[in-house]
Amino acid sequence: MKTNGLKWLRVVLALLIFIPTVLFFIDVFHLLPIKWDVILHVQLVPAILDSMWGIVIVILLLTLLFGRIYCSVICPAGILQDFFSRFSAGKKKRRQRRVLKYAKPKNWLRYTILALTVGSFMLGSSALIVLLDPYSNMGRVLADLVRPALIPLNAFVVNKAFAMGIYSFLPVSASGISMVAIVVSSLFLITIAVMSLLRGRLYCNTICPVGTFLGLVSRFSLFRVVINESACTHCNVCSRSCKSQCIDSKESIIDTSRCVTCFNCLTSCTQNAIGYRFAGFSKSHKAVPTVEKTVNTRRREFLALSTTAMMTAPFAMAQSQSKKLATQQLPIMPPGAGKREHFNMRCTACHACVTQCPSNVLIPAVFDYGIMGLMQPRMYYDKGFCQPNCTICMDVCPAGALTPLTLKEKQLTQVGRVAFTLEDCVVYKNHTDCGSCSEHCPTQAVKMVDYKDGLRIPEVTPEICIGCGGCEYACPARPKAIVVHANYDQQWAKKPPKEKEKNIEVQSFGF
Amino acid sequence: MKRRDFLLTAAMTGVASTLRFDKLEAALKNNRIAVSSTPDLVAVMGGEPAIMLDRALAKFGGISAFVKKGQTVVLKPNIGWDKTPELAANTNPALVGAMVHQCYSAGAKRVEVFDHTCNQWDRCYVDSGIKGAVEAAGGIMVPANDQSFFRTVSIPQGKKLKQTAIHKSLLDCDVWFNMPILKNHGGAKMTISMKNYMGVVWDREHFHKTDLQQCIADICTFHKRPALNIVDAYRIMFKNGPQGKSVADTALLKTLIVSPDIIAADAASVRFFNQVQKMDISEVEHIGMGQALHLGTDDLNKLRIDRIKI
Ligand code: SF4
Ligand code: SF4
Ligand code: SF4
Repeated sequence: MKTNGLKWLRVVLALLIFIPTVLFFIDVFHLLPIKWDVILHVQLVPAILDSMWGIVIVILLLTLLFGRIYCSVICPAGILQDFFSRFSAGKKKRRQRRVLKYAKPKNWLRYTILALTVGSFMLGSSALIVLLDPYSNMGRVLADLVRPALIPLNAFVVNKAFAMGIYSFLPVSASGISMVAIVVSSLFLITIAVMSLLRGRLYCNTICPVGTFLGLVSRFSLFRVVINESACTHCNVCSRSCKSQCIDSKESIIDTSRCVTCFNCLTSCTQNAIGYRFAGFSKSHKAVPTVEKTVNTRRREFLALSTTAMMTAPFAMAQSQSKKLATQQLPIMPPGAGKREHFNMRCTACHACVTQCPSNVLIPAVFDYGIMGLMQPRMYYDKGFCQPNCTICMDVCPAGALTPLTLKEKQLTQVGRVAFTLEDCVVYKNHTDCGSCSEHCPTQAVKMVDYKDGLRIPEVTPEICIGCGGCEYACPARPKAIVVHANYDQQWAKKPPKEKEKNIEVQSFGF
Repeated sequence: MKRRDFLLTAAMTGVASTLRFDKLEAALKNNRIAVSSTPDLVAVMGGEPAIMLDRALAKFGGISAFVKKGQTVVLKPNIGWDKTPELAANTNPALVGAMVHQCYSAGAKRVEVFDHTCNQWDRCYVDSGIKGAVEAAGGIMVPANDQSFFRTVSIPQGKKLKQTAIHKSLLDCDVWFNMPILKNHGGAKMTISMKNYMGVVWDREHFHKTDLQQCIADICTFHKRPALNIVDAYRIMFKNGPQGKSVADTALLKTLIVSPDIIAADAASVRFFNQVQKMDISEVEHIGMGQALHLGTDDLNKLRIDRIKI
């Protein structure tokens, strides 16, 4: 048996990226050090959206040099599919029974999806990116399916330890479960599971826009898997080992645009006819597709593009609709989101921020942002409020949807404004003291002022409010007497008037 | 009166709690017998937290009057906010650290410190400086941000608060000390020893919607009373409380007020506070309500008070 060094290198590198990425999303015990989120920055779509051109160029160069390394090493959804394939191939007998064979590329489908995704983004809707980006889908699988399942485990360990007088395990409270995120991520998981169990990397070569896009580049890759026609006996064994179903051993052709450089085929050949070589400038390999096919594809691509324009128009329109919504109904964006359009366009709903928010303030929206904002995070002050000294969500966002602000800037970022309804307030209704809102307000935008019979009642100054939701969270009245309404775009809060320090001295105790 | 005799009398008449024996009763609950020879309240001014604590405790016969060998002790400071010490939103960390030291020097087996915080708890513990000070002294910070750490108990003497969930550490310890910081409070007017109880319960919302002032007084009737109320007035917050906005809300007064009588401790603290910012004790309704529940007395003239200036 020949050793397949390249394949093992690929596996090791993939695990080195996959495992930290998974841990980031499911770390319910808070064991990971800060800055762990850097691992998210190797992902292509977030890097494009965040204009991290350095990373984008590195990935493109890698692809141009070595093929779709991204798909076999970096993409967490790709690695998960490999787990599924491996699982299905686990038993020798089953492996023999599973017949992977060469399949024609589904060009029309994959280019249409890519064109639709890019086209609709140009027209102002990120809906397809949200739904199709493989990294973000994996993020949601981990954040919305796996993580919630681990929270009871956390509670169990924490409580057992607590009973034994060990307090080093930190409890996390469950953030609200989001049905839409559960449904969408389950659908994604089932789709890739079924596809990879039956047809290897079918998802990557038909649906995934990232895979298709990188395929356009990897066609021209300098290093690639090639078949030495003179040695090839067309025995088909390599085709069967190929999870991308891209080796046409009859013609001794490999479709480099679909090859994910997994190197599984390299040791399969008994004739030593297949290898990973520098093939860039030699014309020893046959081009796929043929010229005639290319023309055909071109025409189809054009068609696809024009349909895209038509199909995405409604997305864009639905988007501008949300502008007309009253601010009361607008969801509050996480700090650092800045302009609403900017945020909605950049956020891929990977839920990195949702899993890291220490106060469970962020929940996936349903249709609150419009169609394209499906599952994007919104602030929700039921289980907690935004911590005045926290910038975590902005720090971890890999897509630049949340701009990292300094703590000073964040403490002046107004995500929404406070609104007070006297008739609902406990002080007014019950004639007893309360002040829960003012207690939680870091800016004193809600302040207790003299009312009557020695009672004090809230008074709000919305200009200095930052919309943290402390007041809304803490208000015991139902309906809440004090709530935060979203700003359409985030603004700077007015700085509260600076108070002078006085030198106060007392000489006696006063009693 | 000997302890046994007192208990006997109490049992026979069955009115122990309605008589003004509260101080004695609280003291007895905490193994303190020599009542008559110690003051009712000690106030210290002008020193660093650890020194003032030492001087005050000495007046009560030293820490060993309260903590016995092998006991588990709980300290309940105010750690409600993610603020640094100079903002005076939380109890002075040096004071808490010194108290942990004191307890261990009396032979305590374990000293635990917790608060049910308002801001994110782990940040509060760290940024307040309290975690650092407590752990340096060998104490243990116990989290209180999860309902499972609390156990429901009944409050038979409560007027509006009949039952509530209290932190297990406090329920299970041998002796506990109430260690509030002196602050103004937008809703409750003042937050001192009595209001500090809101950090031992899980459901604060219930207090706010069911007559805050009465609930504060009610929770203080819970049978397990603090051995001492140690009011930190080293740096106080006199406005914009309980969270405060800046150092301008605080005043450095270097004072400590200690008493086993929670009403006396708070009444004295309000009078002290009143010198900086006007605050009438009648406005702080929970103090009067607590007195009506026989938790102690605000008639400071009737008490033996030791005042120390350093
Ligand atoms: S800044 Fe606010 S919303 Fe963002 S992670 Fe921190 S607490 Fe959550
Ligand atoms: S949202 Fe409420 S608590 Fe937060 S700054 Fe505004 S008024 Fe204060
Ligand atoms: S928290 Fe709600 S009920 Fe209480 S004072 Fe504020 S607005 Fe009123």
